[in-house]
Amino acid sequence: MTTEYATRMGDGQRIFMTREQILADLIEGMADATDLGTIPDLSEDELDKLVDIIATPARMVGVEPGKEVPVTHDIGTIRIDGDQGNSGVGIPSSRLVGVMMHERAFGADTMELGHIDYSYKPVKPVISNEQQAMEVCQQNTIIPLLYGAMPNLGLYYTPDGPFENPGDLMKAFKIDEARVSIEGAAKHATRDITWIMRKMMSSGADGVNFDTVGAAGDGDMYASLHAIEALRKEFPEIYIEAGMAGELTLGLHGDLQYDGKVLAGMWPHQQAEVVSKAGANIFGPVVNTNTSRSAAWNLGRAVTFVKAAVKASSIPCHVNMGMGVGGIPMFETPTIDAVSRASKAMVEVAGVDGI
Amino acid sequence: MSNQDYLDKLRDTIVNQNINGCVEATNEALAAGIGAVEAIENGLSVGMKIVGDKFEAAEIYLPHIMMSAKAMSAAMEILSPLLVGDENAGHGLAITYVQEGDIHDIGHRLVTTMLGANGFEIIDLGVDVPNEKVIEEVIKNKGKKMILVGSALMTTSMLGQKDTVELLKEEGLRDDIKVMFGGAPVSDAWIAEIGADATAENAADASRVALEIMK
Amino acid sequence: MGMPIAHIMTSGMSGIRAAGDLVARMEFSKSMRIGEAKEYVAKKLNVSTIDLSDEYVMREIREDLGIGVITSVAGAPKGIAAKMNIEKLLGIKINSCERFRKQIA
Repeated sequence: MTTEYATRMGDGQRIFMTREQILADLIEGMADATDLGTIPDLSEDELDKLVDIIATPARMVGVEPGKEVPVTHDIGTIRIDGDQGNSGVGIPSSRLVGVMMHERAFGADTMELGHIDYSYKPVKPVISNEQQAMEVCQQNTIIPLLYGAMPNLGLYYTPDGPFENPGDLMKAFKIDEARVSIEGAAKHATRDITWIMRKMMSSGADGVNFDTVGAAGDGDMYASLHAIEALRKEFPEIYIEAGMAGELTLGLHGDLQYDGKVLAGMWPHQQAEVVSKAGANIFGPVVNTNTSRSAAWNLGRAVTFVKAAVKASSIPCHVNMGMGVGGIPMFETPTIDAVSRASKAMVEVAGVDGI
Repeated sequence: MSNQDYLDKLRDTIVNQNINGCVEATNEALAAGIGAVEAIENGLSVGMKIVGDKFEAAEIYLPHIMMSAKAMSAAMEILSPLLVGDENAGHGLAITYVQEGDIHDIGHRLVTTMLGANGFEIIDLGVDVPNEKVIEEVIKNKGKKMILVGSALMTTSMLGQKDTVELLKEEGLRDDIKVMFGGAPVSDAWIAEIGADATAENAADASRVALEIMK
Repeated sequence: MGMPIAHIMTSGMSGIRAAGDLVARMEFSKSMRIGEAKEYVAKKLNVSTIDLSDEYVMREIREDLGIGVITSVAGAPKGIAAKMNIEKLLGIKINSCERFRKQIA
């Protein structure tokens, strides 16, 4: 009887597959990435290694000694004190406590300070509070501590912001007006992020993390790239990390460009180039998980995309590996066996510089 | 010109986002004796299928789809009056919404757009919609060929989809409507578990799946 | 919460338990890729790159250099003080240290 190995679906459910089935799904996932991104296949050796990682008869796996990479942290301390039915575990604690727990209890290599809404725009009215929190944390922290939030262009559209919602405009077939609205929102976001980070740098921040760049489409990415460019110009030493929202930059505008390149439709290896050109130090590629496919399919796809990004990038790549991305199941409490396997695969096969 | 030439012209005006050209091609097709249903199914819809495929392959983006949809819509203004009484015409009514507790609407908007562009009549209930409001809308439209298209980006809001199906059963409406759910956490296993009809991988796929289950 | 810990256990450099913060600083401050950043830090510490994730090796080095250790050691540099020693060790400027110096000038 053929041996079957316990693995996972993309929604986290346990399934059993033979080595042949695992390999077949890895190849299928890889092919999806290579077709979409027009990027190279993984080698046979790499596929074999991925099969071995998935089929390892142990709860957790680990990278070979010497191959460890820095693990950076986004979402700030929200995973400790956040209690919104998401990944936060709702432990009442200050943000200083959260940062120090990551540094001293968990062994994090870098950390981030963020506020509970986790978008840049709402930081404006509470900027002094954020500066104070950064100053106190910097006094007590040794690991690099960034300030982070989401560019979230959605907050600049009605009913939350001054620009008419491009989704509503498009529904009314007002395409040009929708594009003008996106461009206006992007300008405001760039201005706000730059202003916020000017303040945070004056309070000792090591740098900035742009989390989920492109979540509101190409306008979101356009705003972020211009903010990165402005910050690099004003603060040559600032640490800048730009993590994406998905493997594909959604073209809600369709024609926005950076450095002469159309942002819509960019895949991770193309995103890496413009993020680096804008002046970021770290690029965070993201590949979303398909819940109806196996962990093998998802990992084959994610590793293929990320490996191409690592190769194309001129700056370090810290792959985003939270719930539902990077081959990790889309589930509030991702299973440790799946997280560990995806983590090792990204380091040893995709060759990432960090997580 | 052969009938196929007229249908190809309709298809191409959709693919090329040629709004005025699509109106012109529709009038020409009708003048040549091509029926409204044939013009939609073998001309315009073929074009929208190509547009959907290009969108899925990231070759075109939302504004381009909207321009194609506008061309389709302009053609439908001419063709719709001719469809009255034709039972085979139209794919039906799609009630779209985002589950209560969830305000993520990009995917929802894309799917709504794609369904509308593919000939569904649309009632868009928006975001953060309680199940009771969904059921109310289904009751209001009872008797029509209907599909419910719900979206949830979070695992917490996704759980409400199970209640949607239960409520439809309790109200005796489940057999009157097809039910399709989407969003990042929604899997085939979840669809099977809660007794819905289908899910899809993205907006373009959603319109294909909706057309399939409404056949 | 278990997810980041699982990553740290599987792939991470353990932060100030070992030398993860130092390697991360070189990636962030100089855009060094992982190999280059490890080589740079290892050279500064006079260890091999495999030692950078080795708590046994790094504990004593960190204590001797005053660059921060994970447990409470009375009198050992912490926070800004440890970071000022990291600046000297790695030959980089750290923003919070710069701000601190300006305030006491």
